[in-house]
Amino acid sequence: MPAELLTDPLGIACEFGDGRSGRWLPGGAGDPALVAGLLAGLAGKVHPHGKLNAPGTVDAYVTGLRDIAVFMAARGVRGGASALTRAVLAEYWMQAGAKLESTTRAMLASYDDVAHALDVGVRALADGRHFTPWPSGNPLEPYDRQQWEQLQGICRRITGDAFAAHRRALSAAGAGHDGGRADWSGDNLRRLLVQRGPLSTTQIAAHLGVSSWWVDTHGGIRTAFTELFPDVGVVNAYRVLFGCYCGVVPDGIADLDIGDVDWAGDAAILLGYVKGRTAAESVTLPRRAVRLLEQWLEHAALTRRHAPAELAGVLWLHCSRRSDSRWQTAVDPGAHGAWGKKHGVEAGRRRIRTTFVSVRERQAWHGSPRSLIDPNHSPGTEAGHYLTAATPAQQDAVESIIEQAQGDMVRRAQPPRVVTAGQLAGLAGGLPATIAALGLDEPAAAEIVSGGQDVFTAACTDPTSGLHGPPGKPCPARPWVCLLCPLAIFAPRHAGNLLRLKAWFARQWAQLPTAQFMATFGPYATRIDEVLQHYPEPVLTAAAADAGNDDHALPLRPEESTS
Amino acid sequence: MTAPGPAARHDGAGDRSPFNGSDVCAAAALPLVPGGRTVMFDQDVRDFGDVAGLATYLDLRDSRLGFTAITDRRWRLVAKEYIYARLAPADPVVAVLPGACRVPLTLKSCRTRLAETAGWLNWLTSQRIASLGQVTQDHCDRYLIGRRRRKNAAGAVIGTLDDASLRIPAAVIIELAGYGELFTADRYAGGFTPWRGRTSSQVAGMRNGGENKTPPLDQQILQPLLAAAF
Repeated sequence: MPAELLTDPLGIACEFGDGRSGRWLPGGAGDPALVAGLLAGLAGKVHPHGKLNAPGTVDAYVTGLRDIAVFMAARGVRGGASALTRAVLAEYWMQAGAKLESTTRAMLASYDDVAHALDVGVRALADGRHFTPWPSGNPLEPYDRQQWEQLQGICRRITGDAFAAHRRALSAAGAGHDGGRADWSGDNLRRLLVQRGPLSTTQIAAHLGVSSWWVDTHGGIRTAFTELFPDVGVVNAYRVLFGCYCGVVPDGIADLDIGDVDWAGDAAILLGYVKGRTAAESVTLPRRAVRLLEQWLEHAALTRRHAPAELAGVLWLHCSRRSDSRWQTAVDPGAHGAWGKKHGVEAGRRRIRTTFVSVRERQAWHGSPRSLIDPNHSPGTEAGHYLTAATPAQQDAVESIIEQAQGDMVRRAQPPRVVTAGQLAGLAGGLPATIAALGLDEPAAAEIVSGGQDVFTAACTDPTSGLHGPPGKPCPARPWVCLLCPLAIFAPRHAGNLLRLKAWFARQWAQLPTAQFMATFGPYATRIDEVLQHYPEPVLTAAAADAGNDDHALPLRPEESTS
Repeated sequence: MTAPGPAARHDGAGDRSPFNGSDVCAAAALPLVPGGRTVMFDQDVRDFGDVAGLATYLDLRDSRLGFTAITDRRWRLVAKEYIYARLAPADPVVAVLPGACRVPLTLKSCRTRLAETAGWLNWLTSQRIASLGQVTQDHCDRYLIGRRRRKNAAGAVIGTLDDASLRIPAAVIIELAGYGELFTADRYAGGFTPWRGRTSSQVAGMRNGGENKTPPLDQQILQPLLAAAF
């Protein structure tokens, strides 16, 4: 049904494509003729004539309508839309903001399409260039580690407790027997609910042939009902946790059916879902998401068994205690918000996906090999929603990384300093010129000669300089970082370790994609060849005999291991 | 620093430009250094050297907008009004134009726009076009084809320009239509829209996205360069 204009009082009644409807009365704001004209324009924009097909969108238009009506009343404009001039409209739109400007322009243009009431110049201005551009969207901020763990912890507790209670209730039902009022017990009550489905107090009373008051007095129904048939709070916890585990978009999770769950083995599920803006997609679920889904299917099996046939296929089917709205298939945003408040967590469903993606991209120590988080995204969306440094602290961190990288580039430009055995002997002899050329004082030179300041790859002229970590603390850099560090001095005794590192690079090359290897180790792999060029052949041959081709002699972290 | 005052009133009467006597700095909200001289609309050479807070990369030439390069005096006024509108989009006379850009251009961009405007208008003069009302789509196309030719200092054609280099020339031709209502001395014929409303990027055939066309420096060159620089 198209939108209907109301005349007394002025307003509009709309019915949308999904069956929702509503009435909007702008109130007594401004010139009634202008309000009526804009409402007529709005009516032309509403489904099925136009694309406005949701109450929230009409809300936004009515807000714009009220605003321009009040503004024009304050400017003394009378006589409806035809009395508007370009000057007063430009004045309004210059201060209105993007949302109000867009909605009022659209209503005016729509009104003029039908009524042809606007001056030609005014119509051209309404169709013309906007004064305020739409701001780009604010990227969603991922939860910090503590919030993320708290959210998951609460969901796990709710789902775990509810599932344990459900199992206990099923066992109790197994131990119960069919009985009347004479042998009323919790077990028998649970048996009754398992057999007959989610009954109301009245229905139980009718079944037992007693009054509702009698059933209420003997109690236990609410508990037994909640244990056997998960309610909206429990299903919401499952859904939030499922989103945390698999990162599927919220609308994709909300609309899942049993048929979307495609078992590809005992412990693998291919989940098909629909993301609002694109065609159907599918994802292979992570293991813990599979386990959670298994648990939910078991938890909701009893509910599903008693549900009407047309609803039994909805994945998130749950029961309400209210008998007039017993079978529920969705969690409305209000219930989701109330759930968050009740448990003291902020659970933005879109932020859950953002956090999932953000955490996943930081799982590997060398970053993510993916070029795109979602192939449907434009680079702008990708950067805006997932890669932006959202908080000032993150911004600072990113800037310091850039500064460090620039410093790195300059440092890497310096040629390596390799001293030969002869130079070492000369250094030991205290040749002031050599020491000065290497930028060392005498104690440091002595330490380097003796190997006292050796790190794995080289001798370090100042391990506490703070070049790669906090000043005054031992340098935390990984062994290969020394290759491009200006403080490193490579002596003959380092040849063995350099060869071990080179072999490790070769093994990393074999197991990493080329682009990723080049991004992570490329400069170091080039540099190590440059360093080894300075070593005499006999030294390298001797060192190669001991170097081996495994990780055991390398100071690696577990995640850096190649074997 | 002198705070900008309110823009002068425009009378809009007769053939006089509505901006005659206007203070361009005030209209464009460009503050002046203490004791600095403002810029008036009527000046053939607008010198913004006394504007406070100019970007340091602007040299003396960049802060000066000279309209004398345009040989036709009527079209010089057209260019003055066009550049004024780009500098001061919030001016009440400019703001009511449906096609006016709402974001002010920087001085540097205005200078580029002015140079392209002069190129277009002088080319029309060379084609013996007496009025902007005689401009047709054919003129626009021919000018852009000629503008694509890369020339050396002696004027000999040595190649073609990249698509992106044609965006501003096309934008100027298109925008003169959008601001036509503003021009006192001359304007395109009513209803003439160059390239039938296509954007300057579309006209120039620009393609967005993709990698940078200039490849990064090879490490073998970059490394000694950096090492020598620090």
